[in-house]
Amino acid sequence: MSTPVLHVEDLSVIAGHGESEVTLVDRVSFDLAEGEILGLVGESGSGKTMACRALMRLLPSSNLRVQGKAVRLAGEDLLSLDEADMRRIRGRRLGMIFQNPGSHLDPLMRIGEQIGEGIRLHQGASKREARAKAIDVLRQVGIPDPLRRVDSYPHEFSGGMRQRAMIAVALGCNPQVLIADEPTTALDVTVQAQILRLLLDLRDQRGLSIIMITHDLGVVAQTCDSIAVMYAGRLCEHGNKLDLLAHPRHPYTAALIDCQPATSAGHAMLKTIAGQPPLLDALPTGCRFNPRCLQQGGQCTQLLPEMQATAGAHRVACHYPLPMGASS
Amino acid sequence: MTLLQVKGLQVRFAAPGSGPFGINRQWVKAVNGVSLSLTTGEVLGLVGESGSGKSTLGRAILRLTEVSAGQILFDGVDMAQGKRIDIERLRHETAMIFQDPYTALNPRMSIGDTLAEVLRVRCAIPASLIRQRVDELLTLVGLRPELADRKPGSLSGGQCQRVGIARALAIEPRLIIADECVAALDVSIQGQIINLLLELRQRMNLAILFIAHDLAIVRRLCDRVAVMYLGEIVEEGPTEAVFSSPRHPYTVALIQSIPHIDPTRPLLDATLPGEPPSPLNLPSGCAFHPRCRYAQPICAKTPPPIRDINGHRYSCVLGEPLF
Amino acid sequence: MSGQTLSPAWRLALRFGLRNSRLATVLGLAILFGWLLLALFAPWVAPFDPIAQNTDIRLLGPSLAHPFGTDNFGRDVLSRVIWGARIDLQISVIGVVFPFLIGTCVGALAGYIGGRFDTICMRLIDIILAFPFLVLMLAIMAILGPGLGSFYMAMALVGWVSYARLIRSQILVLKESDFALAAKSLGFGHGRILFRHLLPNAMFGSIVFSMSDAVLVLLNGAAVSYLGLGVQPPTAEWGTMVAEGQSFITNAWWICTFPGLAIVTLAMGFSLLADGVAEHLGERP
Repeated sequence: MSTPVLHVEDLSVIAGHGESEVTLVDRVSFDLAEGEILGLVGESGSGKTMACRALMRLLPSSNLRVQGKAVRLAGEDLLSLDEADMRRIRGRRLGMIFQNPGSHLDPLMRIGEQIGEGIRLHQGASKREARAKAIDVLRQVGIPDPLRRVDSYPHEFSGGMRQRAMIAVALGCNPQVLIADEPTTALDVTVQAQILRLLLDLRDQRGLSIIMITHDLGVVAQTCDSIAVMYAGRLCEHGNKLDLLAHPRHPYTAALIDCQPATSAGHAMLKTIAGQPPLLDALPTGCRFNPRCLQQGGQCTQLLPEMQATAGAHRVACHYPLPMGASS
Repeated sequence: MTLLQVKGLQVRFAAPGSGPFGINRQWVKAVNGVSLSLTTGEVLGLVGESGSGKSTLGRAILRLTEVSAGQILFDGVDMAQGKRIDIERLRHETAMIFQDPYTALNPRMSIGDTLAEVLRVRCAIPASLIRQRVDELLTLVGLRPELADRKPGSLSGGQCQRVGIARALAIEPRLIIADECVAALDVSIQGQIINLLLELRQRMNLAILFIAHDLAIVRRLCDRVAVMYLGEIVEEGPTEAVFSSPRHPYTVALIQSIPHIDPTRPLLDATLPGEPPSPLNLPSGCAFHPRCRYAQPICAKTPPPIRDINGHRYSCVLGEPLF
Repeated sequence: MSGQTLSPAWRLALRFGLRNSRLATVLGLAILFGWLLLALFAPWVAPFDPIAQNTDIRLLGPSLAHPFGTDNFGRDVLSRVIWGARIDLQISVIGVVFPFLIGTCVGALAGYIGGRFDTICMRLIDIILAFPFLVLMLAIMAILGPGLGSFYMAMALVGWVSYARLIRSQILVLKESDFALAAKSLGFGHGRILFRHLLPNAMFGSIVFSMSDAVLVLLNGAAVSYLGLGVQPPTAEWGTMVAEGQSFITNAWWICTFPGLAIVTLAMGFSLLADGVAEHLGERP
């Protein structure tokens, strides 16, 4: 692999100050190569959305702080940029799409204008150029009859079409990296398959790198190249999709794969992970997964495990990782 | 023993904004002539995309929305035309579990009060025993009784869903309608709730109508499955029969669209084109024909025949299993 | 994941922003409590009789004997401000309670029952809102005759509309919520669903509004008294005092300034409390 498009090192999000400080995202590091799709998997509250918002510096509250060693987008360090420079990066080089396209598109603006707005702002295109570009992008995301649809309002679109339109808005300025936050969760399964297909096609055609935030391992297995698993604000395993799914090293990843109802058929009880994810202001000492973990050693309750490379690009944060090849 | 039998059920709404003063009013046929039956202790899965009318059907069965036509026989008594006293009895023997565990509970009431209210009002349990029964219910769904004083806002989603189930069980129902009851939960919690339902079903001989869009879960949980498309049931039968040899092209597309965790299995190229049409003007003939890859000229003209192969019913012109 | 509920991480993030709400609540309560104490113990706290006239000491400026000065009848302004608190607190509380109760009932029923009843209630509200507020109040008070009793009556007849609209819109939303449907599916009666489940969740907006409404009622009371229809002289009431004092504003500024400040502080107390309550209630569910 050549130099990564996106290099993230020790990215943290911290809420509050002093005594009441709570770390929502704790030292997350990963690389994203050109044309790579990274699946960021985790349960709700695991910090996966927060981590990506920190990348974009679009945090929901002014009480949140971003810390980190480096966030480099094609060599440029995003952490050292001020707000104005960051605004230039957003949209132009980093795009983002959301779970609920209905609430993230401006209901009073025509789709074409919403796509064109970014193009005109970032590339200084004229109104006519922007419109032509918008039609082009709409065609690329598979919206039928783009010449007519460019003048439609979001409410005239169905759910799947709206998600396509939002992808078009994000793609308008040709970003290098697209962050997709649960892009198919609100959609029906048949439409979900269409949208995933579209994201794959876009990657193939444009060499777009995608970070796909999702809780659905099935979606990840079918679309992503590599997978990063988050638990309680920390990355616990990161590696190539095939390795990670076939030979998970972290007990949490293994348990998560076992939980999938699709894994086996028949009327047996589903496997589950006992208990609840911890609250971030009341974390257990040592490994954050230890109260729910089946294999425990002495260090688990003492020391927070750090990410360690195991084989190749595979990294795991566990004191006693599962042996290679042990089928879960 | 047949507990619930639905015959030709129709639910229609006036389309919003259409026909002032009732002139030219357009009707949305949310449920369009649905028939199904459920025996004691059976779990029937009801699957379909959003807008297929599956939630409306569930609510109509409990008489929570108005029924336009058809029969709902509960224990042989028609609830669709039911008098007040019949509906009262229906409410005593049925309960509902909702999708969003937070909004389904009154946010200003502690969960103990929520359960106690049901016991006091519906079950006429003496005040002295209520506290004990609340503790029993919480234990039954796997929650610690100390949680009774908490408000829903301070509980996790999975815990709230357990409270929702406890509330449904408080009246000791014979039929539970679970409307997407795990869709809003995390995978690891989903399994806990499904297992709880399976266990309770065994223990209390419950009949469950399990409404879901996640076919993988339906396959694990249900004895029989019914597939809905635009207000009609297009295929219905024993779960394994439907999943292993689906007969309706829509069922096939749904099954093929399930994301599989097997990474060697590639994403299929566009399993099903397009999206469901507006229920305001349904396509003629078979409602599915505009999206169907096996569509024949006849599909656009006449409604498809209903075929029945050993209790596996489907409505399509095609005769052979599709895989 | 549902859009409405916040995941724990986000809830945590928001909690840090809400620390100021406690300060507002405490400050608001302190101001209101201070005025309440002054009103309750007016006979002991006030240095002079508020209505005793003494032409020898007319229009004296603030001094040690009369910290707020005296008015054109030689009455001690400080004593009148303290005694006025009795009337003004009463105005702002009673003037809110009745509109609040009537509006809540009408709004809740209109929203819950819907249909023709709702239409009738809404048209009635439209009619009342079509008239300027003060004009309608003055008209009612002109019919009922001057005095505090008719002021309360007029407030109740006119003021309920805003509460009714607030509650109705909330009930309309909550009626469709899952927990309302759950209550219905459990076979609860309409009364129980409406008053025990829907209304407690719908009150948030109107409770906050009632606090700021108390300020408006206070100013209305002052305006009505100013026009001679409310509190009758010589009773001490801040609005009337400002009205009486305004003709002396150039040479005896203290007569209307101090009661005016009293109005401002009470109003501030109410609105601080409103802010605090709003954030406190909004945080919990």
